[in-house]
This record gives sequence, structure tokens and C-alpha cells, in this order.
Amino acid sequence: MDTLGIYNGIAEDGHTGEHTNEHTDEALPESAAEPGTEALETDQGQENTQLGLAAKLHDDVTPPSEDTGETQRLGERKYLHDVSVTASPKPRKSRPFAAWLCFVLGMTLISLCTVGAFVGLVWSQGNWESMKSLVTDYKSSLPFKARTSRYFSALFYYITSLTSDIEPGSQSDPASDAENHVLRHSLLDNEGENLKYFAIEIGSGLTIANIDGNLSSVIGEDNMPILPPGYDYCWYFDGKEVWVFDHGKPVDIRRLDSGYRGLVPDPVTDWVRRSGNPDDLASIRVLLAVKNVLVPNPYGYSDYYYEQRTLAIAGRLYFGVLAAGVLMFAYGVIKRRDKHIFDRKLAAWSGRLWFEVKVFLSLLVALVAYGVLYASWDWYSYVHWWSWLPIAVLISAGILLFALFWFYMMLADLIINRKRFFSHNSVNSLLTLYRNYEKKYPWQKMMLSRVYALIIAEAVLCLLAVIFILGFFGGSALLALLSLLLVALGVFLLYRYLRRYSETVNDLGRLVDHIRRIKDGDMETKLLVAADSDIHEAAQNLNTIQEGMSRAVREKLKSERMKVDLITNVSHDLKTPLTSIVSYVELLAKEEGLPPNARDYVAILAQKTERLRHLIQDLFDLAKATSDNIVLDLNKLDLARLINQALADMQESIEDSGLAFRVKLPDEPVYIVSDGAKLSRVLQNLISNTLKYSLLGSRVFIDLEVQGKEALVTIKNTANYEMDFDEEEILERFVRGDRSRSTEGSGLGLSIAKSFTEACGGRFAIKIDGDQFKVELRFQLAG
Amino acid sequence: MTKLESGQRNQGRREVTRAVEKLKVLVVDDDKEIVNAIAINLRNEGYEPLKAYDGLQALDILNTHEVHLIILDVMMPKMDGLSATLKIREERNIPIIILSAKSEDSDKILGLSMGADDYVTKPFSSRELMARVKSQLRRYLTLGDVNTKKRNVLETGGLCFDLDSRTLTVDGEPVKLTPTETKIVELLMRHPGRVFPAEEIYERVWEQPAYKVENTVMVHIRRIREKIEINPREPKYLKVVWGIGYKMEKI
Repeated sequence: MDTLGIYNGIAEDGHTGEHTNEHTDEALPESAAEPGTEALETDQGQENTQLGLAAKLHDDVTPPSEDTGETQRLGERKYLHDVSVTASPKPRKSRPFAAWLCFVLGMTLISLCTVGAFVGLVWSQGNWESMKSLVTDYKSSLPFKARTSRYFSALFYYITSLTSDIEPGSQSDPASDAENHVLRHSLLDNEGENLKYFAIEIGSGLTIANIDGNLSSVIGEDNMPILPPGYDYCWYFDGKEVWVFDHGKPVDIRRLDSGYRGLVPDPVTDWVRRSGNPDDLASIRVLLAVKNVLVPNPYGYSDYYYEQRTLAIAGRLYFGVLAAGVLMFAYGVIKRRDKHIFDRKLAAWSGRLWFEVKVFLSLLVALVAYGVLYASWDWYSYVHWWSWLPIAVLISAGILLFALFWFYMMLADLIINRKRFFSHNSVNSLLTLYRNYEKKYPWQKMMLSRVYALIIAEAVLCLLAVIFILGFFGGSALLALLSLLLVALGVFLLYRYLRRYSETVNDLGRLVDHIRRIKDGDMETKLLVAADSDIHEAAQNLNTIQEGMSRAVREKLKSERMKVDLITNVSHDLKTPLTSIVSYVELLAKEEGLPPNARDYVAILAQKTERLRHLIQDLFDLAKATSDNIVLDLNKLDLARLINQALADMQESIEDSGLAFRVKLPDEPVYIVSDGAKLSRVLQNLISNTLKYSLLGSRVFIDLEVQGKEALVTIKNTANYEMDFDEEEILERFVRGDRSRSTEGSGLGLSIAKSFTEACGGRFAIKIDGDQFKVELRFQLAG
Repeated sequence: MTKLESGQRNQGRREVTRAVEKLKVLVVDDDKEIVNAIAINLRNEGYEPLKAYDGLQALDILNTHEVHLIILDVMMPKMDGLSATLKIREERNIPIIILSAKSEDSDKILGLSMGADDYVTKPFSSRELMARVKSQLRRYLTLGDVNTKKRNVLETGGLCFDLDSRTLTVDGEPVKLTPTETKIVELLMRHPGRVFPAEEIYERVWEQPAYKVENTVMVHIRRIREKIEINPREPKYLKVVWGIGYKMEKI
């Protein structure tokens, strides 16, 4: 948990260099087991070796790649499968870019098409059918109907305005005629062959037409139009209402999905609104027929023709672009691992930008894109709108592409760099700069100058804020905003300082704890401190020291263990021949008829064999006690009683020795938790030691007292020889108290006593003062 | 020594009355000299030794001969002593004495739990080994003696205290005890496994208030041990519980 905290700390602070961030990001999934070490070991060296290794592995199969760890990981992952593929090596360097480009382009095109479709849908009032027919069937498309409607309305307007003009006097006005003529030409006649029109006021016989013929040849008996060959589509006003005929059949223009709603004029209502008599229209007939196959007009600009052509091309283009977009997008999605590599590159690049810069640029991009899009699609009211279309499409596509690219990059940055997206800002950069600067100084100066720097910075900010706030009273709102910003900055700086301070104190505390742990013998736990911590170097050094100590201790333990193993094995192997020796010496001793001197020899043999046996057993016991695998049988026992028992057990030899034993034991039991058998061995050894090496007739003092929470046993005696060695030396194995005597004992008694005491949880000390030999045993009281 | 010799004499007398042929003891050790030494000692004691040098040979001999006791080394080639013990115990109930260079308590416990009856550590004195052989054989051969069951007795392992006659026998062999020793043995054998502090023993045996009696009690305990234990240094029955008191092991 702790280590995770450290990791977060790094990511949050954002001054560990971008390299680190990338690394931790990638390394995490692989080494989730030990995130702490990852976070700690942000040394570039180590990372490089890791990557280098991966790259080496990778190089064996595929050409080297300049990409980040991701590629190499990919490479490693594919290592097993790609052997056949890599027979013909492909330059993989461009692949991430291609995948990324496809993804972004595809995304742009799809969004462009979606936006286009949406715009069209709004434009066509939600009629899907007419949208579809833009490409396939121009005549049922909305622009066609709108255009026809416009022509029809114009024609209707001409005929009605002409008749209303002539009606009072039947004198035709040449100017008005000319005007109508021009109007007619400019609008209707531009269509040329494509449009046949015929408008007549039956009463006056006034006709506007490009169809040769009279009323009877155009309008049949049944008041239905007779269309010229090749013209199967027509709009017709029969004096009451407007009809639309397609291939001779009337179209139900009132249907919602007919696509005619709002397009077909209602001439009668219109006429009445213009305060005319509806009966006046009864004599009006207007017919507008559109050619089945639209052709270009050599004498004018046929909107029908060009509109159809443009729409057909645009439609194909639209679907083509959509398909291309989908394909590219799909490729990008399939190759998303490659794409991801480029995403990382991009994120690495954009991660260098300050947060403020990114916000500013994003706002700018959004604003510009909106403005350009708005401006480029504000042309639909123009008649020749299709001539604008390609330009508008190109501009929109361009700006959309750019905007999408930008926001995509920002998103990738946010997802990949996470907190760093925000934390890499000008303030933090300045702080990092300051940190790098302060590292030059010794630790104490660094910590102090940090406080000073904070105070100075706060003071400057306060001063500026006050100046700006004075400006606010002078009437400038911008200055007030600035002063607020400065105050916020000041608070932020203070917060950062306090957080840093608490981190440092925290780390220092952990350092102190860790030092105590090392003192207590914990050589394994490492002190993990964030790489940017103020005490990082100290922590690293401490870890190195700890490692050194731990190694030394391990070496020592190992050699100790080897020694113990050796002793165990040797004493074990000694026992087998010794068994034979013991057996045959005994057999020899039983032999009758041996000469007296031979019997003496046998006795000596028996005696020495017995000594050897003791020596081997002592050696074995000592080895056992100093190795870790000693088995203890722990019980709560009375130390006073145990001393009594030990003395009682050796009573005979004590009496034989001629020494006076002064035993002082407390009346109350002294309870300790220990292994009684092993302690009795300790006491036996110590007592027999005093018996062997005490001055004849001297006193031996054995005391037991309770000191605080400890029981202290002291055994004092006066040596019968000069002790020309110190406390340490006497415990060295095989160094015997009296070097001149070598006939009794193994010389291991004291060592065994010490080892057993310590194995039982006690402490063993020897003090030599002139001829005074003193052994102190200390045990923790039970309970 | 006197006790052992008398026991041996007794044993010999009983054997003569039982059967003419000698009791057979199988000695197994990969060290031939050790086997020979043990064999000599066994022959001196009036047994017929059989020799084997690994576990498999031992099993072969067991199949072809009638054997009354096995002395088995632990560390041997082909089949070690513990495996052999397990194998033998599948069919036979004869006494097994294990010989081993390992002197740890855990090794002893392991050996005994495998089915061995006794555990002797190397290097051993032949006197002690012979005493243990005799003790085991005595128990093995007198097993099922109906007379002992009926009586009013306290028993633990090979120890048997007759409450009526107030006499103690070890593996059927009577032991001479002083009245105080008898009282101590009776007290301890009435509660086998229980640890008695010296004061309690003193108060109940001497029936006087106890004051600094550790020495007195210890002296008696040591004397009893010398009478009932084969190796008083490593007692089987009467044990000192250091720092607490004394007890009779419950076997």
C-alpha cells in the first residue's frame, strides 16, 4: 500500500521526467507484483538494460525498431509466432504511423460524412427517401422538387401578374412585356430543352410558353395536360389547384413522405390573400413539364442538368468517402497496437506542453473550427450552391480533420499520461527547476533555503496582488482577475510546500524507523523512498550499508553453519570406530591371564577411550547448540529449585572436593521459562568447572537474585592457578582455563554452558578479577 | 554388577528348565568388528548369536531361523535399520534393540515409534547392551505369565510394585529397597507421570515438615535409580524434572 503511495506521488508530482512516466506506465502490467521497486528504481540505467535486453531478443528476429518499449514487448510476444513471417523483413517503422493515420483519417471521414448526412437530413426536413434519391433518382430528390417549385411559382407569378396588368385596359405594356421576357429568359429559358412551360389566361388568350401550340393542343378536353413526347413529368394548375403528374399519374402531394410538402404552392389561397377574386384564377392554366432525360443547354446554364450531375458525383463521392473512412477506421482499429505506439509518441510529444498551453490551444482550435465551419456552410441560400460545395466540403474536412486530430491527441495525452496531463504545468515546471537548482547545496542548506524561497515568493505575490487590487479599485476588472490568480498561485505554492514538507518528515520518520530496524537485526527489509524524495540519497546509502551488513552476516552464518555441519558429521563418523574400540577394550579387560602390566595398559586404554567418548559427545552438543536446529523443551520452572537439584545431584563430588559451597537462594521460587534439562547441563558444567579449578579449601559462592525483571545467577570461585587469559579467550573452543593440564575434561564445558544458556534464552558472562573467576547467568523472569 | 550377574544366573536357570537349546540373538550392523564384538559378548552370556550385515540379510535370517531378539544398527546399506524394523514388525513381535550413532531425543523417539523396544546409542558399553538384552528377553519370555496379573500390583514398563508384599521387581527381578526407598517408589508409582516436588515427597514419606530437603530426597532418588535403572545416567523410569521435581515415567 505504502509503495503504491510512492508511485502515485511520483506521477502526481510530475517532475520525474517524462521518461520515467512512460516507463512506469509500461512496466506496471508486467511487474505488478512489485510496483514499489519499479517506482523506486527509476534509474535510467536499469531501465535501459531492461529495454536493451528486450531489444536484443527482438533483434534476433526482426530489424531493430526505434520505438518505445511497447514495440519490443510486442516483438517479444510475437517472437514465437512470427518466425515464418520475418523471413522477409518489412520495415516496421512506418507501421505505427500508418495505423495511426488510418485511424484518425477514418475517424475524420466518418464524422464528416455523419455531419454531412445530418446537415442534409435537417435540410430535407427529415425525409430519408429524398436524401437517398439525391444520388440515384434526381427527379424524386428534394433539390429537384424545390427547383421545379421555384420555376412553377415564377411562371404562375408571371401569368397572373400579366393578366392582372392587362385586364383593366387590354393594352399590353411593351416595357412590362420586355421585363417578363427577360425574367422568363433568365430563369426558365436557361433550362432550355429540359423545361417546357405553358401558361395561359383563357379569357384573353395571353400565353407564356415555349411549347408550340395553342390551348386545345396542350390542354385536353378533360382539362388534363397533353405532354409533348419525352416529357413525362409535369406540374399543372387546372384553374383550381396544382397537380403533379409523373408518367401520367397524379402524385399525392399531400402525403407526408411524398417530399412535396411546403414545396407545392397553393395559388388560390395565395391569390385570395393578395385580395384577388378566386374566380379570376379559374381561367388560368399553368403547365410545367420536365424532360425525362436532362441535357445541357448550349444557350444557357441549365440548373437542372448541373444540379443532377453534381448531386450524382457528390453522392458517389459521399459513399466512396464513407466507405474509405470506414475501411481506414477498421484498419486503425485492427492495428490498434501499432496505433498505440504512435499514440504514445504523440502523447510523449504533447506531454511536453504545459497544461495551460494545452487548454489555450484547445480553446483556440474549438473556436476556429466553429467559426470556419459556420462560415463555410453559410452559403446554402445561393442558387448555384453546388459550385460552393467542393470548397465547403474541403474546408470543413480540413478543419474537422485538424480539430479532430487535436482533440484526439489531447485525449491520448490524457489517457496515457494521466495525472501528468494536468501536473505538467508552468508552476510545477518552475518548482522542478528550483528543485534541481537547490540540489547543488548541502541538505541542511537546501531545506532552509526552501523556506526562504517560499517566503520571498509569497511576499512578491502578495505585493503584486495588492498592486493589482488597487488597479481594480481604479476600475479594471482584468486586474482584479489577475490578482485573484496571484492569490490562488500563492495558496498553491504554500500547499505544495506543506505537502512536500510533510512528505519529507514522513520519509525522515521512516528512515529513523528503518535505522532502528537495522539495529534490531532486520537485514532483509529495504527502505523504499520515492526517487524525488529529499532523503532519497540517504535512503539509498542506508540500503547499501544494510546490504553490506546483511551480506557479511550471511557469510558469517554460512561459515558458522558449515563449521557446525562439519563438527556434526565428524563427531558422528568418529562414533563408529569408537564403538569398536570401546567394545574390544572391554573384551580385553575381561580376558583372564593377562600379565599385570598389560592389564595396566588396558586400564589406560579404557580411561582414554572414555575421555574420547566424552569429548565427542561434548563436541556434538556444542555444534548442536550453536547451530539453529537445537530443539528446546520449554517449561515454566523454578530456577532456585533447579540449582538445588543440580547441587544435590553432584553432592558426592562436591563433598569429595573439599571446597566450601556457599549457596544463597531466595526463599520464594524464581520462575523462568526455559529448557530444564539444558540448564541443568549448564549448571553441571559450571559446578564441575569450579570443582576442577578451585583453590583447595577455598569457598565457592553460588547466588541467585532477582534484579528487576531478570534472574541473576552468579557462581564465583578462586582459581587454583594464574588466569593469564581474558574473558573472551576462555570461551574460545578448545582453549582451556589451564593450558598445562590436559588430562581431564574436553575443555568445552564453558563453551557448551554459554551456548546452552543462550539457546535457552539467557545471557552468559564471564568476569575475571585477579584469581576471582565469576560466571553470570541472566534469565528473563516468567510472566 | 552383582544384580546383573544374579539376574543372568537366574535367567540361565530358567532357560535350562525351559529348553535345552540356547536363545538366538540376531546382530545386524554393517561394521563387522562391532558385530563380532557383540557376538563374543552374547556368547559369553550364554546366547547363540546370528550375524547379518545389512537389513536384507537380517530379513533372510529371520525367515530361516527362530530368533528371539534382534540388535539392529540404523545406518546400513541396502536396507536401513528403521525400514527393517517396520518390515519385521509386520509379522513378528520379537524384541528389537536399535543401535545408532545418533543420540538426539528425536532420533530415539523416531526409532521407538517405528516399533523398536529399546534404543542404545553408540558408543555403548557392552555391559549396558547385555543388560538391555537380558531385560528385553526376560520380558519377552515371561510375557503372558498369569500370576503377575492377578496380584494387587502397580506397574509401569518393566517395573512392578506389589502392594501386598511391598516388593519391587524390575523385569521380574526382585530389587532390594530400604523402607524409605520403598515408600518413595510406592508414592511415585501410584501416580506415574505426575511430577512431585522434593518437599511433597519429603512430607509424605518422612511425614515431617520439609525444609531444605532437596539433597536428602535427591540422594534417595539416586540410590533408587542405581537399583532399578540399567544406565542410571540415562534413566528410563525415575526421572528428574529439572527446576520442578521428580517423577516416575508412565510407560
